[in-house]
Amino acid sequence: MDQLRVSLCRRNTAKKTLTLLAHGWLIFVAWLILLIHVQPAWSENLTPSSSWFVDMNRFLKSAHGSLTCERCHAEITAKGKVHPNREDQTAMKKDSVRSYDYKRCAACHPEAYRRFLQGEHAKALAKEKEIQQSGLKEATPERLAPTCGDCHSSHYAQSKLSRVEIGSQMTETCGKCHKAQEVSYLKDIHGRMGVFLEKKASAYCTDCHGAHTCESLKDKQKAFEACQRCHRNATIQFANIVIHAGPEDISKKDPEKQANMVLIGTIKRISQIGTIIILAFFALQTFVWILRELHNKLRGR
Amino acid sequence: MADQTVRQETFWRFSVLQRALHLIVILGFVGIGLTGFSMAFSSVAPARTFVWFLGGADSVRYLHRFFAVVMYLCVVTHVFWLFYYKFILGGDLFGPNSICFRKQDLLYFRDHIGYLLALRNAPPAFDRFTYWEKLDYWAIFIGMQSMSLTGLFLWFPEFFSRFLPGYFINIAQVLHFDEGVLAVLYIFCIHLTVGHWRPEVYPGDWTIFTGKTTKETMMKTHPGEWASLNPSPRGSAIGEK
Repeated sequence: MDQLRVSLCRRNTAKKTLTLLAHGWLIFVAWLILLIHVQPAWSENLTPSSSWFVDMNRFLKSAHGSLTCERCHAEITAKGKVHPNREDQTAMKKDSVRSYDYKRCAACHPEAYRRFLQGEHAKALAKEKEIQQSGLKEATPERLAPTCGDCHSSHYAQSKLSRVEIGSQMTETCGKCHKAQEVSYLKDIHGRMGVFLEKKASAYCTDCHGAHTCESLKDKQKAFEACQRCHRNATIQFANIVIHAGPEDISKKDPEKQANMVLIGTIKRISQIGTIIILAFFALQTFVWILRELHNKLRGR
Repeated sequence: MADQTVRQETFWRFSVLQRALHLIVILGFVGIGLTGFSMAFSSVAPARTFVWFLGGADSVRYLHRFFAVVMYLCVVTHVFWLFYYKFILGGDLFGPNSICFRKQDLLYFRDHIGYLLALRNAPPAFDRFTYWEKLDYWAIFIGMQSMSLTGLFLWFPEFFSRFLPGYFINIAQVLHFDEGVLAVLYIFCIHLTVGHWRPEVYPGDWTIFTGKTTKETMMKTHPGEWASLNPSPRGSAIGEK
């Protein structure tokens, strides 16, 4: 009788465990299904560059959706203008961003355009044109200096985005060309807080480097001014904190920063090796310890 | 298994203060570790979910600093306790009952390693605290000092960059992270295994929570202290030290 009860009890426990396990799997599968369905919404490409073809559904939802085509493309209504011949092999093969005259943006965005002309990107663009015109160098640089359309999607850019959304998109946009800076920014406290943890008081690219001016902050005084916008009590040494503490190529032009990076790297390596040695020693000791005590137990001591 | 009907002779090993501090340090350590790593590894989705759960980046930063202050108050309490032990209780800081390291501990360490490698048949006759208990204690105690220093650097970068070069903040970041990893892995892998999960004490050593220990354990794991509590006229039962 007792034996029967024990076996029954056991089977019940086993059944209970099985049911529990089944529920566990159900929950797991539910999560999986949810993730599979939610994932495409996350990975939607938000800022494709301009092309000759415009998705009108998305255009109408964008910041420029209320504008008519000829507001920006006045030449299409000019007299004597004919539609490009679709049979022509060269038609629409030119880069649409390079062939658009972005001076027209200034009509509505004069401040942004003025700042762009003052900034580093406009200087790089001017230098590029000079080289092309002089024809001295055949080889074009790997990446062309950007105009408005390289960073902003004129047909699809959305309006009324939150500061965090703009900041995250900005990190991606700038990161297309400044990859090392993007990577080091996302490792820095500003990037982790701003992009990953969505803290809107954090600083995004343009908060330090200036919207549309896109300045390099190699000059300590300039960098200090940028720091002070948020860190009111900062002193000039504060600007020596390395924000883009990434691969060496970032600091190539700044010997002081490079020296600091070498020091930081050395300390990092030493502390990592120390950590590994300490943990490895105690892990090994603990492992042998367990073996030794198991041995004792099995020997019945 | 000891017979439950026979009343075990119990010994008090930890005072209420010591037990309470251990509990507070457990809570503070888990809290500080979770909030710290969820910020350090915020590029990973589960960390972001956890931060969202706690109410966003600001509240995680606040909690991390709150737990840090709680932990450091524990350290301060321990310093006061050391003074109390030395001057009021008249304890010997380098005596056998103290948590401080003595020369003897090096010999215990050598002998214990010898025992682990089966060069000796029995572990050495430890006093009130074994060398690994002392190591755990001082690792946290000293580790807290450097963690607090680097943590303060990251908390008040504007203040510290007044009289130190700016890149010291970067160095503090590196050391704070690496030591955090070291502390968390040490406590959750090594301290828990050695203290609670190794075959001799499995499934757990509850002494630090109840404060009580049995005569049996005293004789087995702290024979030195046992011998000093029970001086036998015919000499110690555990042989020479």
